[in-house]
Formats: sequence, structure tokens, C-alpha cells
Amino acid sequence: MFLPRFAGIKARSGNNCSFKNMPCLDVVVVNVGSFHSDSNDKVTFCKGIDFSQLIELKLQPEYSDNHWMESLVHLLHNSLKLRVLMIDSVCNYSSPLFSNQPSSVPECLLSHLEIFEWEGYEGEREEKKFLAYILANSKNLKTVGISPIPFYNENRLESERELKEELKSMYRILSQIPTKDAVTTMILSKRWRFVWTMVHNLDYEETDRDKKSIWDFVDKSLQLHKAPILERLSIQLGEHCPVYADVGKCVSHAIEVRELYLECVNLYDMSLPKRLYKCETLVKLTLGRPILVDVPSSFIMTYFSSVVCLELDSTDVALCNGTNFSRLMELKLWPKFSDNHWLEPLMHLLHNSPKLRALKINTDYNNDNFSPLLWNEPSSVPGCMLSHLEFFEWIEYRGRRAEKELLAYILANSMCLKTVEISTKSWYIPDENSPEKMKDELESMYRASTSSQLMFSVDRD
Amino acid sequence: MASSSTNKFVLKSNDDVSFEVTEAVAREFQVIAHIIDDDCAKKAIPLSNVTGEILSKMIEYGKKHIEEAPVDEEDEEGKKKLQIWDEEFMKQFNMEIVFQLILASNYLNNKGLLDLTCCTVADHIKDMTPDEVRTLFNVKNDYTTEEEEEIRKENSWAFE
Repeated sequence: MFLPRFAGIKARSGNNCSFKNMPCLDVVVVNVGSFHSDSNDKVTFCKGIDFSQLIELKLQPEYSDNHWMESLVHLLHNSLKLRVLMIDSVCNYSSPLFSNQPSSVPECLLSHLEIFEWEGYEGEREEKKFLAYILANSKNLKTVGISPIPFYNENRLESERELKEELKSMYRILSQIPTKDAVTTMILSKRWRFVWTMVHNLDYEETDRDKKSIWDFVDKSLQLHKAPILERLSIQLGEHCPVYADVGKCVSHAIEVRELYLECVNLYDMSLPKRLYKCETLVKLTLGRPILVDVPSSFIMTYFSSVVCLELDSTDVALCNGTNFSRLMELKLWPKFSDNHWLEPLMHLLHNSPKLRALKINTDYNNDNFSPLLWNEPSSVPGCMLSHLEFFEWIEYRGRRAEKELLAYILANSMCLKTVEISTKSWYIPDENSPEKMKDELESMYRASTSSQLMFSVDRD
Repeated sequence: MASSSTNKFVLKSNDDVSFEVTEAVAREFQVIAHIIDDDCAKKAIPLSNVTGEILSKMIEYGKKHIEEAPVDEEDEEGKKKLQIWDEEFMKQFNMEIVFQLILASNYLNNKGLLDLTCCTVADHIKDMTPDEVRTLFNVKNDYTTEEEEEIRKENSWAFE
């Protein structure tokens, strides 16, 4: 199949008709002398097209596209006679990737390319690699022009700069609204189509209003998302979530993340992606409901090494097996409703958090009407208690036997404690006792850190 | 700290309005802090992208955040007080001014004000229709009806 003899094609973004919908692309021979593309989509569409007559190629990668270099190499492979290559990446604000060196050098570089121009070159590492690749392999190159700014147009530079700043503000604004709303801004205009893909907070929450699961939305939008670093990724999936939902895989789309919140009500054997354990940007991790943290022993020392603050609402999390939170400073724990085994996993966790400064427990939901809470004194004292733990808070302490034992143990072994805050509710105090009696009992407990302050309060409502 | 409360600098807007501020307030804006550190701040510091109206508001914000800065990380009460002031502060502006404040705080690099102003816009657009958002951001819908239809179809997951 042949296309008519175009002298030149200009493909602009938004014209999705150009190559995508044409059949039999694999064997098309196009007689195009000059080809302009301002969107990487177009370059990708061209993968199978043989531009045997193409002499001049001008490429303007779209602003959020970070794979344009690889796509361009494909296009070069199919453009045997290319003499002029012009790149204009002034509007491209992504950090482009050129990770895979092509296995073979495009023919046009070896024998035809004479003029190479690159506007918008900023000297980033991957850009350097790409430039070096072109220069090292183009044997007939006569003219090379490289510039961080557009060659001939000062005004354009200024307006591009302004646009760049404006877009940055837009990313910030969209980062503050629910992701569901941010994504729909793609409908505003062509320029807005991809703005949402650069937001640095992603917040997914299935509410009671949602009749069906938001899983599909989470999965699709995370695949399209492009910002290199996420400040916060929060995924709360409700009861409609399909069993096949692979949250682990979907989280792995977020390469670098600083805060991660995961809660999936009805997924019981979900595990976290391996790369997350080694993610060095992660400082805050909040896990709700059963999530299997399954850590192979060979990586123990590095796993979660950067997490500083951890919140868990259930110790079903099998954290005990070797996860080392070497930098963890703050731990918040909400034992869940019928869990009467949370003390032991907690002690394991303390053993694996050598730098813990603050421990906060909230037993608001925890209820052991069916079976009593169990406490066994550990054989050795966790290191964090001996040298780091300064703040201990217990909300909705009820004075159950095992609770008393745990509290006594923490007070008796934490050498650096400064502040202890215990609060209870009036109805937890048995009739024969009074709040004063509970207070006396707490104050009479032995404290290793004699300078520590103990605050006790009773919530009456 | 003694020197930064006595040292004064003059900030000059692009419409020639001058403001004398203490060094501490000037340093609230990172770009100006760099200028001071590079010892280039002998005379008035010209700020070519900010009008006097906007600059005076930014200085008001910077002053407040210096004077009422929370004592430390744990000073929850101090943080709360400042937060309430921030909310009141933003209430006086229309969206046009808020956008100018965003660009200016981005330009002068004050992260607190930038976050605050972006948050204000975010709150404002939360429940808006696409048409209302277009009007607010001055965006021209350049999709044809067919293109818009295709985007909605292709991304039906986003519009359910």
C-alpha cells in the first residue's frame, strides 16, 4: 500500500487521525521528503513505517513526554536517507530517558546525516548520552547546532519560560484537589490534556457514594501518570474492589514516593512491590488492613531504610519477619477491633526499629470481649527503649491486665523517656475504682527514666 | 539574629514602589536571600516581575510569618494561630489577585505562600464544571466536538 506522494507531512498533536488509524502499517513505504512531528505519539505510531525517502525530520517532543529519544531512534532506523535532523525540546519539561543504547546504529547516521540541530538542549545526563550517541555515530555530519534556547526567537524564549512557570503552578494546584477531579481537566483543552499527569500528589479514595470500585480508575491513571517524584500516594479501596486488583503492581508505577498510604478493605493477600522496600525517598508509610509485608532475608538491612514515620491500623501486617526500619522515628498503631494478639508483633516491631523516638498507641477500636489480650514479656529489651524512646502516648487505655503489663514494661525499661501521655474514657473505669485510683496506680509504676513526666487524663464524653 | 533585625533592605516593584523591610523579612523570599548572600544588595533590590500591590501583600505575609513563627515543631498552638491568620489573609483577594500571588511567590520562591495560594485555588475549583474552570483559567477549548468525544471515549474510566 502506498500513500500519495506527499512532499511533506506536518503532524500536530491532537490530530489523532494521522497514522494511528491506518491499516497495514508494517509494510508501508512513504514517499515523504520532510516530516515534522510535535508529539511523540506520532513518532510511536511511525514505528513500523519505512520512510525510505525521508530527507528532513523535525521533532518537537510534547512537554510531558520522557520517552521521545527512544522513539526517535526507532524512527531513525526507518529513515535510511535522512540528511537533516532537527530537535526542538524547548517545550519538553520532562526528564527524558535514554536508558537503552540501541543495539545497532541507524543506517542514516552512518551514511547520510549531515545537519543536526537541537534547540532546548539543557545538558541533563540522559540528554548528554543521547547527544554523544548521535555525534559518535554520525560519520558524515557537517553542521551541528546545539542550544538551550530557541535559535532565532527571543520572544518565544520568554513566553516559553512564562508558560513553564505557569504550568508548574498548575501542577501544584491540581495536586491539591482529589485525583478524580484533576484527571478530568484533560477535557479542558489540548494543552491541558496532559497537565494532570505531572501532579505530585495522587489521592484515591473510594467513598460510600461510589457504587462501583475505583480500581479501574486507579490502575489506568497511574499508568498514564508521569511526574518523576510523588510527594504523596494514597490509595483507599473499598468493598467493591475486584479480587484481581493488583495494588502492588500498580504502586510500582510510582517510582519515587515520599508518603505512601494504602488501605484495601477486601484484599487479603496483597503484597507490596519489592522495589518499594528499597525506595530511598519513602519517609512515611501508612498501612491499613491486612497487607503482607513479605521480605526476603537477603535484603533485610536495606528494606524500608528511609521510612521515618509509620502508621499501622492492624498488626495483621506480618512485619515481624525481618523488616528493618532502621530510621523509623515515629510509630502509630491502631490495633483493630477483635485483635487480641497485637502486643507480640508490636514488640517485634520495636526490636526492628532501633531509632524509634515516639510510640503512639490508640486502642479506640480494640475490643477483647471474646478473648483476652495476651502478653508475654520478651526475652530481651528492644534497643530503641534503651537509647531513643522519648515519647509514649496511649489513647483509650483501659487498664486491662495485659495493657497494664505492657505499660509497666515500657515504663520500667525505657531509659530516655521524657513524656508519657495516657488517656482513658470514664466508662472504662470499673465502678469500684475511681479515676484517682487509676492515676495513682499509673504513677506508682516504676519508671527507668526518673525525670520523665506522666500525664493522665480522663475523657468524660 | 541581632544583625538581621537591624539590617534593612529596600525592595522595589516593577511599577517603582519601594518597600523598606528588615533582613529577616527579606530572607523569607529565597531569591532575595540569595541576592543578599551574594552581597549584591547594596541598594534597592529591583523585582521586575512583581507589582507594588502584590509585593505589599507578600511583605505583609512575610512579616507575619516572621513575627508569629511557631516556637518549634511541636508548637501546635502557634501553628494553628498562623493557619487561621493565613485563611483570613486569603479571604480578601479575588482569583485574579490570587493568580498573581502564585506567580510572584513562585518567582521570589516562598514555598509557604505558594502552597497557600495554590490551595486557595484548589479549594475554589473543586466542584466546578469544566466550563467554569475554563473561564477561571482563561482556557480556550480547542478540541472539536469529535475530538472531545474521542477523548471521553478513550478515557471513559476517567469520566464515569
